[in-house]
Amino acid sequence: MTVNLAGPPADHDQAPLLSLVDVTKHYRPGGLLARSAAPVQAVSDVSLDIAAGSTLGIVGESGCGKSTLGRMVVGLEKPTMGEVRLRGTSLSAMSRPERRTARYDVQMMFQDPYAALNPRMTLAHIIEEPLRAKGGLTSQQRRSHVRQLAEETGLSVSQLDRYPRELSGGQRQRVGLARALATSPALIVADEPVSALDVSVRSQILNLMTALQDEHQLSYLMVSHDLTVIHYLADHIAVMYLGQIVESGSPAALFSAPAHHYTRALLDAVPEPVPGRVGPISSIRGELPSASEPPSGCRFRTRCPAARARCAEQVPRLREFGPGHRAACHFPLTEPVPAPAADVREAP
Amino acid sequence: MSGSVLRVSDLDVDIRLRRSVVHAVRGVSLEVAEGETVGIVGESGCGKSTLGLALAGLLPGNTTVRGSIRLGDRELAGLAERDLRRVRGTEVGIVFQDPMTSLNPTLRIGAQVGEAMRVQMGATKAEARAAAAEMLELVGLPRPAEQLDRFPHELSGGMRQRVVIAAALVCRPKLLIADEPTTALDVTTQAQIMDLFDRLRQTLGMATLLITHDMGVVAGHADRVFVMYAGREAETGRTAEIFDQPRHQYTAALLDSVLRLGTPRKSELATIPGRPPDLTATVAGCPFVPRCPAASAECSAQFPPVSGAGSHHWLCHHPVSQDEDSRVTEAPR
Repeated sequence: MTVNLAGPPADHDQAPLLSLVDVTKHYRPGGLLARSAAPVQAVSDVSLDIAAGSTLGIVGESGCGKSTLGRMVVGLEKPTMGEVRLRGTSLSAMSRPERRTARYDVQMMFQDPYAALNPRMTLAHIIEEPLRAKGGLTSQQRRSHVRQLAEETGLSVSQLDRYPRELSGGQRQRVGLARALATSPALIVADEPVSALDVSVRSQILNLMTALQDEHQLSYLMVSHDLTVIHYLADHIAVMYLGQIVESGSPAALFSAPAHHYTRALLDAVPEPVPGRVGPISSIRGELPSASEPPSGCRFRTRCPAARARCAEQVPRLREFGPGHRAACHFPLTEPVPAPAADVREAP
Repeated sequence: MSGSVLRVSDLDVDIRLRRSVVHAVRGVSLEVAEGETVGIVGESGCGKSTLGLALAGLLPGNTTVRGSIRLGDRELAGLAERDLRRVRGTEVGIVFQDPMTSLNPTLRIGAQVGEAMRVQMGATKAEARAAAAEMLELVGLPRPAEQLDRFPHELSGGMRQRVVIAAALVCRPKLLIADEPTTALDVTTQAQIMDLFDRLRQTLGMATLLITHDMGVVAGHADRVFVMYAGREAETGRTAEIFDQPRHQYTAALLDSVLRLGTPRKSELATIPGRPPDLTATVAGCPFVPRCPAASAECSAQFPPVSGAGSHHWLCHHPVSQDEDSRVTEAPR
């Protein structure tokens, strides 16, 4: 497989802030059986763009590859195939100084702020650390920047001398956000940023993330299993199942007229706070198949209420269902936009 | 209420720490009838899990429990540890949030599910195994006979939680305490597990205490809701009463802050300012005062009395008025 055949030279002004181009990530299992075992196909052929100042939401269940995707975007993992481009330049093709800059341009915020914060550092120290690593500021400048970040994220300056264990979950997530913002990134990858929080605190953090986005023209890559959170924050949503994108589109399109049966099942499973209203009894059954031996054809077919013979034989391709709305399903819930007679761009 | 399985009266739980005492549960009274599900809701630190542990008799040694816990016609408070253990294994089933920590990774599933039968009810190995297989089938584990000899790590999270539920129910308890049973699970798995609870409740008729912070889960699966704040009851009522006509300011604030699919995108979300109080301090008045939009001098001076009638009660000096709240349609008493 050719790996580093980068695409056509990108037009840096037109390019989206971040794009994933046919990104695939396989893990080789470790241990005794490593040679014979099939690789885990964590992410398969994913292509996505994130525009400056916008939020891309990735939704899916445990094991769908959404966190792996987030980790590739911040450079914690390297794709097995395909590439991650920041402003049109592939991360793997960057020179060392370019990569260094890129690292400060894309920051990460984790689900469990407690596990993500060093328990022996004060908050001031935790927030300051990326600034220190980036360099270029005097210690006094750094300190004043830390105070400003604390204020922006709703922490009081008097709390800066405290340690993470003295904080509530919501305050710790504020620290995680302040730290992620320290290097003035263009993109923050937020992996389940509010799922460990109480409802009232969850709203506070979501309000804060929205306000910071407006103020700094930030982009978010928001990874979550929670459709209500994704719906609230995302401008564009991609639904993942077993390493693949099965449907993507605007929140309006996906929530009012989903095309893929998996998206429908996810929507049905959302427990809405309306008494007595239990969704149609879980429309998908069974278990997530193994990512090292995904089902043939459509990967969702083993749990799909509409699966037929063709689904096992043929891999469904992403088709257009409206402007910016695509889904990969042989027997979709809505009609796709008729494909043009000959698609020249698809020529090999 | 007839056929009340659990009747808790004036329950206090104090947890002694090195230099302070946490008053985790204060004066809680509640009943659960046969086949009924009562949802216990509130933020982290409101005492809902401590309440569950107290009812299950699982509190550690540094705690003091006062008040009465009646299961059927038996008083559990003050029971010796040995007798309590027996009740716990046979008459009360418990399901916790994380199935991996509730299961022993070195024991086969059949042995774990059948354990209570053997230890508490003196069943033979074969009887326990048969009961375990039957229970695994009831909780919807595919090919239950094959699963008996597998280990927990061979199953997915959802399947593990089914095993935990099977183990909790194998002795056909009268009461099931489920503490955040689906919080660690994916949405579609959560929906499957909650379906399972509903089905088992109909089949086995046990009373269920569903402890959760997820208002959506409670709305869909509880008959009644008990809202806790700072270790105390804030409001209780039928699920529809609580969700459609919340009277306590805390219940209303909690419901307002729930994110829904219909919440306008990127709109300013309602929040509850501040955080739950420190339960080592004792306050004379209503504990919600520092965060309450309607608090007055009266609220700080005096703990609110119980108001309401029928199934719906609240402890609030300035209850949310029914007509000012748009979601309310005046309900005749």
